[in-house]
Amino acid sequence: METPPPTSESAPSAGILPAWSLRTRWIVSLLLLWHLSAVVVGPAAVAPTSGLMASLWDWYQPYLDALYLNHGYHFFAPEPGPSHLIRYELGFADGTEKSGLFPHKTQHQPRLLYHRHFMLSEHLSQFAEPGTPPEYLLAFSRSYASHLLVEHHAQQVKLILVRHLIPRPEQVLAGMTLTDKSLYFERPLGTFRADGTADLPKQITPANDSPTIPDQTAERLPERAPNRR
Amino acid sequence: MQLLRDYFRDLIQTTSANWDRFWFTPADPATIGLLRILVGGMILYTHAVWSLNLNAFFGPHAWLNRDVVGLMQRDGYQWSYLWLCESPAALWTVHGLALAVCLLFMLGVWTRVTSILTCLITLSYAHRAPEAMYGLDQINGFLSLYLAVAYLGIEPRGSAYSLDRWMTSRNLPRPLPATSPSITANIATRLIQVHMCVLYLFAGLSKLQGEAWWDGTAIWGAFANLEYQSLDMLWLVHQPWLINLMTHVTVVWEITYIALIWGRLTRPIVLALAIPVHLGICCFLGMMTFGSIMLIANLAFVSPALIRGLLDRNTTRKFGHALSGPKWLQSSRKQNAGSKTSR
Repeated sequence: METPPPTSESAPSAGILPAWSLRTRWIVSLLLLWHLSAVVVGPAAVAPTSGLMASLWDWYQPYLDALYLNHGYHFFAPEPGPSHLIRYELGFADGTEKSGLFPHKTQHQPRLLYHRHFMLSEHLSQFAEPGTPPEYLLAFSRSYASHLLVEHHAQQVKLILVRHLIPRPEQVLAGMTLTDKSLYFERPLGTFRADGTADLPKQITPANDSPTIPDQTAERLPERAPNRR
Repeated sequence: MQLLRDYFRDLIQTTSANWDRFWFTPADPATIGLLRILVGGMILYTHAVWSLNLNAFFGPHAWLNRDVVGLMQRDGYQWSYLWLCESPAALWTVHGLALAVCLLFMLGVWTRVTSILTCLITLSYAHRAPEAMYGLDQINGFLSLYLAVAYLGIEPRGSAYSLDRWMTSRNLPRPLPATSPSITANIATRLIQVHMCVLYLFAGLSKLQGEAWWDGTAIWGAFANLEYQSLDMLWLVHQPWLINLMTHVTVVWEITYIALIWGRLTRPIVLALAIPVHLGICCFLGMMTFGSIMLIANLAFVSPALIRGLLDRNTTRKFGHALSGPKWLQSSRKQNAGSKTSR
């Protein structure tokens, strides 16, 4: 540090701290080493990772979880990919219907609130990937459905995951817009009722979780904790 | 054999001395003071925005119910006091108190206590609705943690740019005593610096797994994403070399940050590059808060002398020496003009 030392002009009576004793420095140094190694193990243990890092993660997990340091910092990695939205269709007791979408740029303002909704749909989409145990997708779908049913006083809600692909530069040069219909793919997540029953598509039922929408690139955002499932 | 022994003795002694110097040299709390204001402001804003949809994210029928959060944290150790708020009235009460604490922290009031509480608040919100969080909350989390560490060892009267200093010095003759250098201020600054290096390193390394970061098209993927886009950048399709350049510079900058940020001559360049990288995220990808908090975190690499040089003249004019820095630092500013970003 380049903090200039006090000179004769100063009046450091406001409690200059004495230099720490050797014992104190040893204790703090050990704490620092523990913390810094945890800070490295957190992102290093995100898949794909080695067996060594996975083992170290088991040691550090309580500490990293408790302090919310369990992140991979994989911003836009391995590469930017498609976005995910959730479309919902509400059915009411009087027979009327209403649909909605989240995230929604005009309804969810300011932008930070939009991103909160965006993360909800993005996190759910991770569990729509092949090979993911279906109970995660089901749990997220049920939770979102339950919220929508209560918020809108609806009798039932149908959830649809929408994947929005990114056009390639040559497609844009050929005249394609970002909202071109061919860039959107939908996957039903189920119809959930206020009485707790649900009609689930085959993709979410156990033993069958094959995706129905194409993947554009490798998995992308959002940031997530190391996968310990 | 003797040569080997001498080598290891020298290695241990040098490493030990450098370790002590790096972590345990008292530092002027000016950098920490500025970070407290900016990070506190961001945390206050982050939590204030929750107010617009508080029940939807933290109420009894929130987007993320107890079942799904429990499933995600079933082998975790995350705790949140928000789980205890089972009625909207209780939720709004503790939320109001949380906002008040964040405001006090930002202003530097009872900072030793409010810094710890702000950290606990930040963690509690993140642990209650983890799937609504993203990079902003991760940075808020560790910055609030390190600032709490800093203020464990900074006395109220020595707390730079704070109301604590003003309140505890009202009856003292002017000019006020200096804000004394603090070891915990240095430890906290170092922790932020090292954490930023780790963050950028893994951000860069993880990109190397993706083909688009190698073939130079990744930035296109970010700009052509309608859900992120806040400014139409599709004109870049006519400038593929610019897309390639931005893609390569981003990766190289992130991976080399950990090495180049420590050099006296390279640090200004690395910090200067952080501005367009993060401003781009702010302006083009709609993540104003995330881009801003990354820039704020980079301020940990700006020396206290430079911060004093920029801020003290104005604060002295408005508030007297109660909020500004010590006289010895103001006078030494001129002497340090040539090495303001070195450390």
